[in-house]
Amino acid sequence: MGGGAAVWGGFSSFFSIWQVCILQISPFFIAFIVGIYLATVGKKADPEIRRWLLIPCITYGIGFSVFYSLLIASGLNISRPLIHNIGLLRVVSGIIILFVGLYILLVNRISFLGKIHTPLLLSTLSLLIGVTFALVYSPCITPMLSDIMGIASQRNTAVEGWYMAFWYGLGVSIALCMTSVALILFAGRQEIVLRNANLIKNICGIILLILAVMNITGLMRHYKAFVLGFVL
Amino acid sequence: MNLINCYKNCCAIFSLLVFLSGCSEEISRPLLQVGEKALPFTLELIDGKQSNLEQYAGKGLVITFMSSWCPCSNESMPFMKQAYSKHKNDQIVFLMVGIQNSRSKFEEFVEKWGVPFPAGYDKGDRIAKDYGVSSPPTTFFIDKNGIVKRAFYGNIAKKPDEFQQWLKEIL
Repeated sequence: MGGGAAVWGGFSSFFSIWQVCILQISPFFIAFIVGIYLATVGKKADPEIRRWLLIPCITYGIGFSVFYSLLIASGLNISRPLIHNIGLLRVVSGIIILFVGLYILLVNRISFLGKIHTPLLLSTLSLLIGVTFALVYSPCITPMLSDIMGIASQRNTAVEGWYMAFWYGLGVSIALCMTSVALILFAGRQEIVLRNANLIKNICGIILLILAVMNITGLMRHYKAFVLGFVL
Repeated sequence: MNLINCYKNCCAIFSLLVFLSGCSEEISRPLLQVGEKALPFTLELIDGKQSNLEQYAGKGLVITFMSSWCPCSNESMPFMKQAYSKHKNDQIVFLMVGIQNSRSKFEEFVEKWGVPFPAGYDKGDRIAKDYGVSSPPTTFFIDKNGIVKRAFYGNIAKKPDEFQQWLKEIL
């Protein structure tokens, strides 16, 4: 199995029955990217909007893939502190997501936030969202991930497994970002969306707050049991 | 809304969530390695009985961590039932542990599939954390001396030949 196959494995899992598992993060990422888009759309012209979304998608993919692969590669020494403290890290992730959700809710209401609303800040927030989503995501195991985990969990093959898991995570991220950007390109300039931009942006912020609370309080298991179980 | 009020509100929410987070803090281990000794556990089974590792001493143990919402867990159930039927008279015990789930949903899952071997809900995913299981389904093959001989991640029904081989290794 090569890196290309792993990217394809991650990418294709997004558009298959395994989307059920990815629903742990996909609606929340879409809420994030739509939220920052709608927070920006009134201020910037179209060509710039693309730049404002493209770089955040790249930083999200990097943050997610690096930490996701480290958590999969449990045979690596560097992964052990992460896995050992995963409970605490999920709480910290929840707190970071909480602040990102508040940022989306408040960016157009507080002038200070409006001033710091730049592509650099959004890229940094996306990087953080990528890292936190990797920490909160506990996937069910697709056939390809099964092979990767088998390699990554044993100490003598952990580096190879980490490499494959990185590309697999990147494949998932690419599919997620493509879907989100396609959604924005398709619906983002619709009259009804622009008319209700503030309302939709606020809903996006609230969706992130819900994810934050679920991670901080441990309610995520119920989201998986009831929401993902209902889809299945 | 001015900045000071916003800051105060954020601090209040932050304090509340830090307080709430005390309920969910957990320590996890990396995935149990092949050759390691299986860790002791106590699991409350669906029927109310207690199950623990010590009671399986001298027998092979297939312990599988599953979730009702996971497609792989559902897909592997017919195979697991079939394997149990085939080996129930051997010195091998099958045990299912429900993780990352609500108790009610896991109990529905056990009922839906008519799981014929012992199954219990892992409250707070404590056993999963001890065994380093982060994703369902994960299956461990533990020999009669309590040593992990194999760990498999994913749909075990995809590996029927290997499964038989791994059972032989724990007998």
